[in-house]
Parts: sequence; structure tokens; C-alpha cells
Amino acid sequence: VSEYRIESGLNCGGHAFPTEGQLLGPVLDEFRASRHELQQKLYATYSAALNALNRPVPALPPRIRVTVQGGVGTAREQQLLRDRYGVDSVGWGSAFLYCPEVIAIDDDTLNRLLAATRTDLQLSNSSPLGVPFWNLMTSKGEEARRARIASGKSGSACPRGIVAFDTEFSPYPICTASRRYHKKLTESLKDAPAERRQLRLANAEAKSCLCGDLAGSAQIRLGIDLEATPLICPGPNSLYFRRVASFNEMVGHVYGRNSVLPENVERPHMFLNELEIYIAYFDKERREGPMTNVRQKWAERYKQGLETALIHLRRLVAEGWIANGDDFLATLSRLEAQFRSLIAPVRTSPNSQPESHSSTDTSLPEAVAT
Amino acid sequence: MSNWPLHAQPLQSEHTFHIPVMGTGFTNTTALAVAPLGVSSVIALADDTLLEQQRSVLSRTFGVEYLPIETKDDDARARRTRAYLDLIADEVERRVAQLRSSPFEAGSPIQRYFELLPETATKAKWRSLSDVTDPAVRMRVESELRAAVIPGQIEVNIMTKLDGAFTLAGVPKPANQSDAVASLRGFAMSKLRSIRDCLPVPRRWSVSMRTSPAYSTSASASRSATFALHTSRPLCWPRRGCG
Repeated sequence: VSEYRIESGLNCGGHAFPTEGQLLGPVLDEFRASRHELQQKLYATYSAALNALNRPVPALPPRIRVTVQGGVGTAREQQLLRDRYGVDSVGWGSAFLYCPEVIAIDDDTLNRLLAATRTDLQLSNSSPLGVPFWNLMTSKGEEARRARIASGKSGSACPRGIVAFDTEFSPYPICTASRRYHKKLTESLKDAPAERRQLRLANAEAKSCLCGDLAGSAQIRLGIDLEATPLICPGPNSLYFRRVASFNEMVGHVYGRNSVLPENVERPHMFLNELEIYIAYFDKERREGPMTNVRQKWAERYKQGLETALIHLRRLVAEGWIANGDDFLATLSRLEAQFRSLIAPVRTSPNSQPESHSSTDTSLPEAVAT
Repeated sequence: MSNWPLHAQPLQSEHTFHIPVMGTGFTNTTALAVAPLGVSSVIALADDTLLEQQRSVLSRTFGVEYLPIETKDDDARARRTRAYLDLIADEVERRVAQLRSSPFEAGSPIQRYFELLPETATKAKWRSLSDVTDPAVRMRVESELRAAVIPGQIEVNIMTKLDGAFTLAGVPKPANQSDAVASLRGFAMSKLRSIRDCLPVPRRWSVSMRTSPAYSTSASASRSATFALHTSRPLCWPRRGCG
């Protein structure tokens, strides 16, 4: 392995793989601290394997790269990741969505992205893989999906089948977003209790035609299919970028020569954004069902992860890495208070949820309120 | 004594950011624009139908012969992947050569390359070029700068868990034809070189992976580290550093 590419669990685009509360800062810190050890251990493993095969062994451990992506938005953050954690390269994804010069995004989808509000971008249930998926709900692809439901024929024609993995109704895997699956599901549920039927159908109807429609933008840009109905899956950080930029401008932004961010919009630090999304996700997840033993253990680990992150973020300020430390700490304290109010009931009584949450609802990021 | 290179890594340009993979198509043509300028980006290999469609259009644009590879053709997914990656690699290589040989004057590709670089020693050297008046010295510095142009990496993304083993019609695919394995084989056969090819192991190597079980939607699968395999590394250019 020559490169370790680390991505934030939730503060990223497309499919999200939430960690159990381990945020980017502490993870990168560990990589920084253990990088040499990792390199040596890999070297020992390679050497032993090569020796066993009678192949030449390198005289020195091969170099490894550590790269990171997920929610970066300013040159200062880029510099923090490089200098404080020693990463070799920082991935800028969502920002470049606004750079049609180098990204295959079609005009209509770009305009919808530019017009998007926080509620339009959701950590959705759209992926047939059952993994949370950041999805722009105002895309043409989502409109097409809703139109199919309205016409009484939900489900896509399934042109690709790349994420066809469900075998509940067929001898071979089919996609839960497909018309075929929806028909079979509807038949199977005709005698089921209304509540269960509605729940399962709604869940299936929420699935987008990912592999068909994610290609839409690229197809329109190259004139392959002008009737395509594109989906787009920007990360939550993308909504801070509010205008189209040239490649030169965007590279200038990365290095701090100029800025493409609007001046009148306050953008919290990437680590604070990540923390906020993780708190909201924690709240949403623990409301999903009763606190079983497994979930209780998950909640404990998650809580521990966030505690570690809070300590780490305060240390960053103390070490002088944060430009506007006071604002940073104020937001951090607000988020911490929110987090503390959430974890209290988890430990005592998981059933006393409704009233204990109402106070926190208003401060949740709307983006996660799916 | 080992003949392995000290740094078994292709040369990296001096840029300290990259453009990650986005969706299945958003970044598939990005390398054409950014790799000559030293910026790394990622091609998604999930959708071979899209790659084939893109190849048909881009071949025409670049004036390259296009021989279609149909879905039903033998080993189609791997061959489509390879053909697309080769097309991009060739075009990037052509654009890099063009950039290298362009004049150091306002608006030229090589001028843009150095303008975009972060503040490094190489960039300082480029800045100093305007102070050089002696034609002989200028020629030497210019040629050193041309040699210092390092293209961005063309990386690929294979979602290893998206390893479907059935056709759309429900027919099981032959051994080693499942989606992720076929993508990996396509990458391996392409001109893009992985770190592996920089090492003194036999150049021919076969891709034989066990067909992994279909993607499971259980919570245990939701770890990105085991999900996306970034098989990367392209165009080690200049060749220094490659075995």
C-alpha cells in the first residue's frame, strides 16, 4: 500500500460511511504520530513475504503517502492539514463541482446546485446499497424519480444494474431502485398490515437510480444523451461555494491567492462542520429504535469519539492553529452543549425521548433532517 | 544488493491538493484538463457503459480511431476500461508534450503551469526567469524548467464491494468477470502504471481475485476503508523513479 487516503465519515460527498464518532482531526493526529511505525511494520511484512518467495527485498522501506479529503474549504484549512498533520495532499471535491472547466457537470444541474438551500441537500436514504448518501433532492434525477411514483409506476428501468444486490424476490440479484423490485415488493405486501406496507414501499420508493442517473451530467456534457436526468451528490461543504469559478481561480483559492467564497456568508471551520453533522447524525440514529445492547455500545463508542474530538479541537486553538480562536471556541461550546443535552437521556432512560429532544431540534443542521 | 528504487513512488508534482473521485462520471474527463497542469484526479471505473460512451465521443474529438466494444463481447468490461484509460493516457501525454514545448510567454500552457504552482523553489526559479538577460543562460534555465514539469496523476477508483457477478439478465458471469475484478484487470492492462509496475517484479502479472460475495448492506460493511480501493498511479513521468 503506497497511499492512505483518509476521508471524513460524514463531511464528504456521495456515500457516507460514518465512523463511530471518530472525527478527522484525531484520526489524522494518530496517522501523524504512528506514520513511521506504520511504514516499518509494512516493510517488515513485505520483506518477510518477498524473502519467502526468494524475491529481492528493498533496501529501504518504500515511502507511503497520507492524503485526506472531506469538507475542506479555505486555504487556511488546507495549510492546517498540511502543516499540523503532515498530510501529503488534500482532496478538494465539492468546491470543484463549481468548476465546469474541469468537471463534467451540465448547466442545468449546476444551476440547480447554485440555487440549492440547506434543506435541498440531504443525507438521504436514496442509495440502493442502504448506505447514507448525500443527495441533492432538487436534481432532475430526483424529479424523475418522484414523477415515476406520481404516475403509479415507481422504480427505474435499471439500465446498468451496478448496484443490483437484492435477492429477496428473485433467484439472482436485482436493484431495490428498479421497477421490477417495486412490482415484486408491492405484490408481496398486498396482504400485509397497512403500516408495514407503507413503510416498506416508501423505503423502496426513496431509492434513486444511482448508477443510471449519476452518469447523467457526463452524458449531457459530451452530448451522449441530452435527455438524461442527472443526479448529483455534493457534500454538505459544497453549499458554501455559491458561484462558478475558473480552474485558475479555484487553484488560487486553494493556495490563498484569492477567494471564491462569498464574503457575506459565515462559514464555520471544517472541523466544526464535521462535529455538527456528527452530532446531528447521532441524534437521528438513536431515535431510530430502542436502545438495544448493541446500540448502547455503539452510543458509548460514539460518545467517546466525540469527547476525544472536543479535546482535540480545543488543543488546536491552544496551539494557535485557528485564525479566529474566539469564534471557534464559541461555536465549539454551543455544539458541546448540544451534545451534552443529547447524551444525558441515552445513559439513563432511552424511552423518555420525545420531550428531552425538542429543545435541540432547532439547532440541528437542516441538511441532516431527512 | 537490491535493485529497488529508494523511493518506490512515481514523481509527484509540487501541488499539495488533488481532485477526488466524484460520482461515476463527474471526474472521468478531469485529467484531460488538469493532469498536464500537474494536478491529480480520479477516474471512476464503476460504469463501463459510460466509459465506452465517453470513449466513442472523445475518440472522434481527438481524431483517434474508435473500435466499439459491445456489452456482449468477450471480457467487455475490462477491455472497455483499458481502452478508455489508454485513450486518456495518450491524450494527456500528448498535451504534456505540447505544454513542455510551448514558449515561456504570457498565455502559453507552460506559463500557466508555473503560475498555478504553489510557492516552491521551482516556482521561484521560474519567477527569476524574467531577470535573465543572457540568452545562453536563459536557454539553460528554460530547459531546466521544462524538465521540471511533472504531470498530475491519473488515478482510478474501484469500489471493491460493487462486485456484481450477474448480468442484467440474471446470467452468472464467468470466473474473474465480476465487476470489480474486471475493472481491476482493465486498469492493470492499461498504459497507466501502478506503483507495482515501478518495482522490479516481472512485468506480466495476472489478476486473479476470488469472486467476493455480493455487497451486503449490513452495518459492518459501512467502513470506507474497506470499501473504496484507490488503485492509482499513472504515467511516471519523467521515467526517473520507475524500475
